Amino acid sequence: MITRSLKGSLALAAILLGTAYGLSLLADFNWVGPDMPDRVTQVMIGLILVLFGNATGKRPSDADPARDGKPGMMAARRFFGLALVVGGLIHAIAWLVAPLDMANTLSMAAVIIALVAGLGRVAYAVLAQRETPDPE
Amino acid sequence: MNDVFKALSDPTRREVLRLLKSGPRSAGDLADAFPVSRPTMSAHFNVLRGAGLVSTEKVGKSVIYHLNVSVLEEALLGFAGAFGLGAGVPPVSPSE
Repeated sequence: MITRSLKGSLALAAILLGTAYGLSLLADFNWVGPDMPDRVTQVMIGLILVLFGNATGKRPSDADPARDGKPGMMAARRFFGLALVVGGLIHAIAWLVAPLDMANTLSMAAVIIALVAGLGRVAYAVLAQRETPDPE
Repeated sequence: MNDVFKALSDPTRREVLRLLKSGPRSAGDLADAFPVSRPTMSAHFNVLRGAGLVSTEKVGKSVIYHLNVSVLEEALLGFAGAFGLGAGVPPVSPSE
């Protein structure tokens, strides 16, 4: 499982770096606009956030139902995933359509707000789990 | 993905998922919430499990169902519910 996710992550990183390098080469030859490498790379980063966020709500097959697989934690994970998906979508759309200076601010703000909201929800779930005694 | 669409196309299965949003429930609890036979509910559970939308945990003699949806699947669930997808479809038979 770890090997598979590691291979996937490495492949994703290779695609991201390859695309960025290829586009910067094309920009050097003036075949694409000077802002195109930045835009495409950032849109891809936004879409990767969406991909990871989408899968976050799924319970890992090795999750212990008594610990990280608890319903409260799973609800928090689903919220975190949703926040990442929304943040990633805003990030990608901002870099796709907004002027460069605005895209940078907008995308960073969206991702930071998503992370703060998501991590806040997870922290709340962890605290609630600690305060609730186990039924056993 | 086809399994997910199939699972979400039935109003009873969507209702099961909606109930599971509030927390895990046993198969018996879920079956009691619907006016259908146990074998029919069992068939619904199998479809949901096959699509990976629920995960199960055995506690003693009972099977506890947990919601296990991604963000996209949850959004599809909302859309399917909002548009009443499969509302006129006859209920699933236990042999399915």
